Amino acid sequence: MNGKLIAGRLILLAGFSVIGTASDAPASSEPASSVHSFKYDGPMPTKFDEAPELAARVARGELPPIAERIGSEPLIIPPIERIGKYGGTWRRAFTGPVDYQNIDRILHDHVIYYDLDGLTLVPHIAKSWDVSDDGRVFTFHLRKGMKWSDGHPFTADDFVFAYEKLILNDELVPVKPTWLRSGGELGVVSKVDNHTVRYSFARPYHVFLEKYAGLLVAGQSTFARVGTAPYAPAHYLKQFHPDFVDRDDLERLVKETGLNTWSQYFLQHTTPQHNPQIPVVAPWKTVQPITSQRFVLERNPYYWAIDPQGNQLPYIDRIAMQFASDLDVLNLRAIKGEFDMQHRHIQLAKVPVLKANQHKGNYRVLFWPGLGGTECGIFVNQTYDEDPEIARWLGNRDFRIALSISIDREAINETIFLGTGTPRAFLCPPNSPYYPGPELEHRYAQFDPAKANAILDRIGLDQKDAAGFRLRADGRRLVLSLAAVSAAFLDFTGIAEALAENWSKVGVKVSVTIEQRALHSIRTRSNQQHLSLWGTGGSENLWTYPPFTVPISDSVKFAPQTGAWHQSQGQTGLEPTGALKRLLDLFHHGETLPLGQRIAVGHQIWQIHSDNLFVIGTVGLSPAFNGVVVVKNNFRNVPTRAPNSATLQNPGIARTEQFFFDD
Amino acid sequence: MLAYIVHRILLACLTIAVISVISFVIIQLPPGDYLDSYIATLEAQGDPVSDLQVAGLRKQYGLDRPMPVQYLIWVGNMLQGEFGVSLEWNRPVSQLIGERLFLTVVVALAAVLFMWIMAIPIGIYSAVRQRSIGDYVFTFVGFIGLAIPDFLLALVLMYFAFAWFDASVGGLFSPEYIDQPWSFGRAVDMLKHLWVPAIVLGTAGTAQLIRILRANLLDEMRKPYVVTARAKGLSLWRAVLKYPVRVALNPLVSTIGYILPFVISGSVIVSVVLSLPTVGQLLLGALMSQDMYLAGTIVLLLGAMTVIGTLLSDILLVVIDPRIRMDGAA
Repeated sequence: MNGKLIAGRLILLAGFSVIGTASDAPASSEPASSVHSFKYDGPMPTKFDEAPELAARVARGELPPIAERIGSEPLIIPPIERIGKYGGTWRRAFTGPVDYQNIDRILHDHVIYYDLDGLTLVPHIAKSWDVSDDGRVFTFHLRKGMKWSDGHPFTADDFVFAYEKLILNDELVPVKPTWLRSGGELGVVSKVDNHTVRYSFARPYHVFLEKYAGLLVAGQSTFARVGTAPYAPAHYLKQFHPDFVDRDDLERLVKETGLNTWSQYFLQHTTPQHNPQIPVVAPWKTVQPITSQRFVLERNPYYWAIDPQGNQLPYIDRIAMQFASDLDVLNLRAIKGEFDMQHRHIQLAKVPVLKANQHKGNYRVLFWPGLGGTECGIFVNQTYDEDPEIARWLGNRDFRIALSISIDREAINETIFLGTGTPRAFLCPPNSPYYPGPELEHRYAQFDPAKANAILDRIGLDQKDAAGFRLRADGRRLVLSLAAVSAAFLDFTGIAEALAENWSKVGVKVSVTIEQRALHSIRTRSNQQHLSLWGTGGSENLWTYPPFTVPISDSVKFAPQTGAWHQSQGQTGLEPTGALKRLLDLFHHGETLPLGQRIAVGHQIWQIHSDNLFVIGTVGLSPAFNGVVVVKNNFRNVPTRAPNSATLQNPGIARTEQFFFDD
Repeated sequence: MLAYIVHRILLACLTIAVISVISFVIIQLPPGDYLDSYIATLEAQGDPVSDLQVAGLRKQYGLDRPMPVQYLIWVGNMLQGEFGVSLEWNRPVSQLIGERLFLTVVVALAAVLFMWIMAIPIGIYSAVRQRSIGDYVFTFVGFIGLAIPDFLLALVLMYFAFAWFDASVGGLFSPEYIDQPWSFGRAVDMLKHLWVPAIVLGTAGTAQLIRILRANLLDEMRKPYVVTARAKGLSLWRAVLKYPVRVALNPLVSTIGYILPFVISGSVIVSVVLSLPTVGQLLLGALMSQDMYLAGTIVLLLGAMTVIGTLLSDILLVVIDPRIRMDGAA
């Protein structure tokens, strides 16, 4: 073993002795009964209570009384530990105006949402819903008396406005969102009555509900900035929309602000993170925008959720985010205990220092394991065509198997993931509905360099040069390139070096190319990569987030040309055959089926991946991506474990509105 | 003299115009544009994104127009006093830069002050007591400061500030003072945070200045007039400080023009590492995401400052050093 890895292991073992307890090591899936649920069947409270500062405003006549503000059908959220207390400012960190998701997830203003188990759909803004038997019509029932943060009623009109005036407007939204399409056609959003919204599609679209609950559709906080949010405050936005005000007046306003087009101006005003004036339905509303050094939000007095005792949520008064341009500064501040609850941008590599300082900083460290098929996948480009010999090997299944079994996954888990992950193949986690079975967990994922050598010799790569590297048919050394993105969330560079070393032991020369993010993206889409490294977060939801498992677009790393073909409906790219074609067919078939029938299709998709190794898994189920949570000891109602995935929008899935300060 | 100045000013304007073209072109050189880095940023944070949405955004931001057209729009706006809108921050560029200009100058001045306060006495001492223990020690420390990469020094100092002094790390203000209006407390808080950037930014420049000063002073001290003055009974320090030091300070004056742009651009990495809200940090972010109007304006600003600074220091030299003559064309 190379000295670098030995040194790395020693340092990490030393660090690990500091960590000590095994209680923070991520377990495999917990039994369902021990996971808290946010479903509540108890009685509606008759007495309500509110935060002291709101009560004071009511007394002064500035706000209507609590019962009017929350409406007659508020959502009841049972807290994870206990009923909370009002007050406090939640201090966090963010890295700039592009760090939207930092706050989006906290606000999680989705129409329907996922329960804490990451599987069950539960009411959120909508109190209930119906699906027609043929899966084409979805009806959502809104809450009577629910209001925007400025007191204006929240009704089905806001959904129709968002659909007709924003999404359908070609200047605002030139490319219509994929989630609104079924079978290529756009769905229709209509109002049944003030509190009932209907989505109608041309073809059965059962998976729409899962998309609607997760990141793909989300809510105003997440997608207002691109105009595709499912609802929008019609009463406020009309003043910026040319269908309601004079076009010339609007253009003049736009010129004054220095922007180019009315659509830019409009979208700036729809975005809650930029515009403190816009009404929202999230638990907190912007006070100081995300473009400042300090991004501040304050409680929404009209928030429509309560706890089982009738206390209006959220408990926490304010959220204050401090700007940090550099992740080391951010992590150093976290180590110092300056943040009340932070997991975003916390680096796994800092865990030993975090644990060493947890008493001094008065915080605890939790691990929320990621749910993607693997934390770092090796994508083998099946549509590569620049060099036929290389294309031939990339497309050879035995070659891929040999690559997979020459990887020392244990070593990678220890050095890069500090032992917090699980070496396994590329496969969804065991508690996913599409999990085909434990027999696929370690398929082709053992460490067997001898067998790899035998396979490589057998398939025609038996000629080697003086240095021991295998030769191509023309006598030159076979060299593959492995692309790793620099300055990304995970140390892809380190993993790439370890992989190159593993593969050189079986005679396959792999040269590591470090690429800047945007360049990597461009090279992927232009079909230039041989092997690339990337995470696969989201892949556990095959139909709501397919880019790591199904070649639907040209940024799918294991078959960009197939994706291009699919995206352009056959105009460009390469028509797929064999397993790639079956993936697309299964995917489209599954879209039309309800979840119960879709499970079998999901099993088949994972089976295809297990058979073909288009994506080779290394280590999975680790907290490396946004999974290390630093929580102050007086910050309560945070689950010890929560699903960690972009689709599910953690920590929103833990219902941030029921977090509180206990002092 | 006047003709010289006018001639130089005209050349300066021409240089700035050329800089604007070059900076705009270079920023656009990497493949892709702002939106490609926008997608990539989101992907790297673990956030899925829709390429189809981005195609629409490209049209909206005007990024599908050819480069010369974008350049002319930018220059046209500039002549009206507008510098365009930052794509990443969604605010006018002039606002973004203006907000940070004051603090940038403060940090730069702190670094320069540190440099001069350290370099001048040490340089003089090193020359006067050449080859003494003190000279060797200072030389050694100076070279170490020159050799250590400044961002590394910044990280190390930041860690010690946290570990030994339990200080709030990074940034120029503690969280409680960040958006408060100016007060004595806020100023003191800023000074408490300013020492790390000042040391980090100043160390490399200090080493350089010490060596230059030392070398020049050594040359001067060998000259006959100094020897005569000493022979006539003038004390060493009086003889050195009265005239030779002034001559040795000449190069410092000629580099004044470079100081401000140097400290701003030299501090880009340090500003990012220390999270200082300066123009340098804004520049790095803009370059990495190809936010072309913001990046172009800042680069142009730096170029203009260098040109003007050089012009000013040339004029200053002519004024303070009567030995400089302009023979024929400048």
